Amino acid sequence: MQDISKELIIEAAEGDMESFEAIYRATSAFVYNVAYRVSNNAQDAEEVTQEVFLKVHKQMKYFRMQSSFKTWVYRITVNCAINHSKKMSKEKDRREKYQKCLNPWDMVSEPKANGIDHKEAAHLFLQILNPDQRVCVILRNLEGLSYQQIADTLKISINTVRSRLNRAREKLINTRKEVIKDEL
Amino acid sequence: MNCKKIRQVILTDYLDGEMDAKGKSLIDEHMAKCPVCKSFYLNVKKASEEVFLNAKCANPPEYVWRRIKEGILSEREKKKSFVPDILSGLKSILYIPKPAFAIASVLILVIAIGTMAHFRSGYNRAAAEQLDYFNYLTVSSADASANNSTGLGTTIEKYFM
Repeated sequence: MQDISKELIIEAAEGDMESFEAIYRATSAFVYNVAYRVSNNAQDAEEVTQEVFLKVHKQMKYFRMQSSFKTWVYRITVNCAINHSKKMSKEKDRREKYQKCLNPWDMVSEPKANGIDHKEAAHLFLQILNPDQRVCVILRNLEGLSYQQIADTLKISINTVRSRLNRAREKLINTRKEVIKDEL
Repeated sequence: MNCKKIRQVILTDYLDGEMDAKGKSLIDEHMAKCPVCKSFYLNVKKASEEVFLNAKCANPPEYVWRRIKEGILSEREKKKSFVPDILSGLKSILYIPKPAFAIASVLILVIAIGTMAHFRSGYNRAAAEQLDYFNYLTVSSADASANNSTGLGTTIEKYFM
């Protein structure tokens, strides 16, 4: 994510639409990708992106310049994405049950985001993790955040970040072993 | 540190470059002596690199920004129309037409005067009755002592009889 200047934040908080659009252009890719990786659905990622920026715009006047704007956006994004994902997974379960009752062979496939393949290794790997581990891995491996930044974003300790990454990677190694075994 | 602990560190801090120089050199020294930990590190590195090597990023479609902009503008419109709404609502509650106000004040005045007059006359009547009773008591007690009559001779008895 690109750095956002204080002036831009102040102007946007005062209601300047062009400044807010500049902030959107600088941060939307991060927000959309995190949302997509967490929710695994392009439509949900669009909804989360929309929700995040409406929240950012609304809360901007209360933003304290002492903390990092990036971390603040990261936190809103992750919270919105996880909440949306939990809500949608419940709804999806109900929908799938209903769909199975109607026609068990006709399952609806998930819409894909532009350029992201559902068969790509990162996508498949992220699906085997729980939401907490998934978010840590996305922020570390895809967005390149440090442990401290992840801890600040998720409001957890660095040791919790370590243990989530540790478990996620153990899962990755075990899955890889299983795949190799199957191939042999 | 034993191999198990070394591997825990390799999985996180070492792999992510989160270690200080001293800690890193400790792990490097251990791996130089321990081929099992070295191969564990190479496997983990390869696996995690492989997984995220071709991970692509996507940009949100342009209509997402249009929707956000629409959302912000409609929110602003709502805020703008909300303040005059409150003022006009208060005005309609507090506004009383002039003739109605005049009639109401006259009515209140009449009721107040009437109530005051009523209580005043009631008070006078009660005071007069009390005075009569005291007069009677003084007269009847004087009679009783003069006649020295039989009976109970209480003044209250006479008053009721």
